[in-house]
Amino acid sequence: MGRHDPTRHLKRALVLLLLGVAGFMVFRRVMRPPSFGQFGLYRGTAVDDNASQPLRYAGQAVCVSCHDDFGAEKKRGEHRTLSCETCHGAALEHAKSPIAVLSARPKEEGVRAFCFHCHGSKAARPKWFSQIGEDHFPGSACIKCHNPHSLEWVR
Amino acid sequence: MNKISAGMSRKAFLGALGKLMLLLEGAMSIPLFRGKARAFGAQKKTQEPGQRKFGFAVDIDKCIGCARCVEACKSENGVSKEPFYFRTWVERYSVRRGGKVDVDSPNGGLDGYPAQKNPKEVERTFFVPKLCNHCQDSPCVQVCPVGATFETKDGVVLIDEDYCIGCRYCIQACPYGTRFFNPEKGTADKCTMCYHRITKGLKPACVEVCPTHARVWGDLNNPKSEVSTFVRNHKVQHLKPHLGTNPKVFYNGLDEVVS
Repeated sequence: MGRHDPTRHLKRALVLLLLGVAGFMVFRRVMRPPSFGQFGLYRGTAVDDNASQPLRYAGQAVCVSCHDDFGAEKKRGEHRTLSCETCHGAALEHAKSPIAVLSARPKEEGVRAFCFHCHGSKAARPKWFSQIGEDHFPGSACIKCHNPHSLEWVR
Repeated sequence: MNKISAGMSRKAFLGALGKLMLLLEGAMSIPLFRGKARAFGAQKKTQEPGQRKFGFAVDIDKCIGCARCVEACKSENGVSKEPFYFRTWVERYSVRRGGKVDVDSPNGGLDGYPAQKNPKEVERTFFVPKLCNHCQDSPCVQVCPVGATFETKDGVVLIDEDYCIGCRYCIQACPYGTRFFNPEKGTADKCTMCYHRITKGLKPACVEVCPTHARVWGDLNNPKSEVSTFVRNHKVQHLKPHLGTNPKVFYNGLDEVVS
């Protein structure tokens, strides 16, 4: 091998390539999170991160496990397809500590506009859905006459 | 011609190259190498037996536009109450005589919908709830440069908030406009189908509160689930099916003007 070794530049390139590959592998080992590639081209622990977000809505089953009377009443009425939390809002805090957190009441309880979120008359609403015009006892609260749990007459 | 290339004729070189390619091709079919090869792009969507595949269905004929779903979604997932950030929202479509289509969704539907202008011109009008379509071939997953958005084995498209660099490429890529940039977290944000709820056996918050059962959710691999029953018994469609995204959100009663 003399000065005129024609393969010398190839050997240099090969050494550089191997150094590059080795450097990349070290970099990859340091930078790549251990769970990356566990299920696919993403961090496997990100699935658990997403699954461990805090809950706020308890779910119908939890509500009626204590309030079975309201559950039974609701089942008889037109509002049977509703979940308690549709009107009452997120109630897991209340379910966890029912005495300390008494806030599981509708935010706009007794307000006519609250019922009108659903029952206001709107052209875009399906025709089969019960819609009440503003001319129906204008200004009075709906719960003066209607019981929201069973929709029976209150008075 | 120098000494090195003189050692092998062009014909012999090409022949050797061909043989090498055939050898590599053969090696790919060996199971040991196949897993590796798949990691470089051609990811196969295999479902293990007993694996759940979560799906969602929306019944437009039942949606009353009350936006209880929008409210529930915001409080369950801590989405900012400002009127630009929604993981789900409800659009009102108004098709006017002559074919002009108006779409509005003031504050996602939370503020109610103002009376339509010239209501006599409106031929038909209806509400369409929107959310992430959890596509099987999702553009957002394909464009993410760091692998921060992905489809889980159970079919839900999620975001890795620790890994997202906030480049917003996925927001541009989503053909349904369901993603937004969360300025508090500095990451992309979108519907997770309430992954933290569904993995604990609870319904997504929007499905829980929907008063008319316009939203249906369940396991598409279980023929007895609510969503499978719904998809079986209705003539469902996807949004923008021509894009080949294969959504896991099905719509019943979809009008041709909805996109």
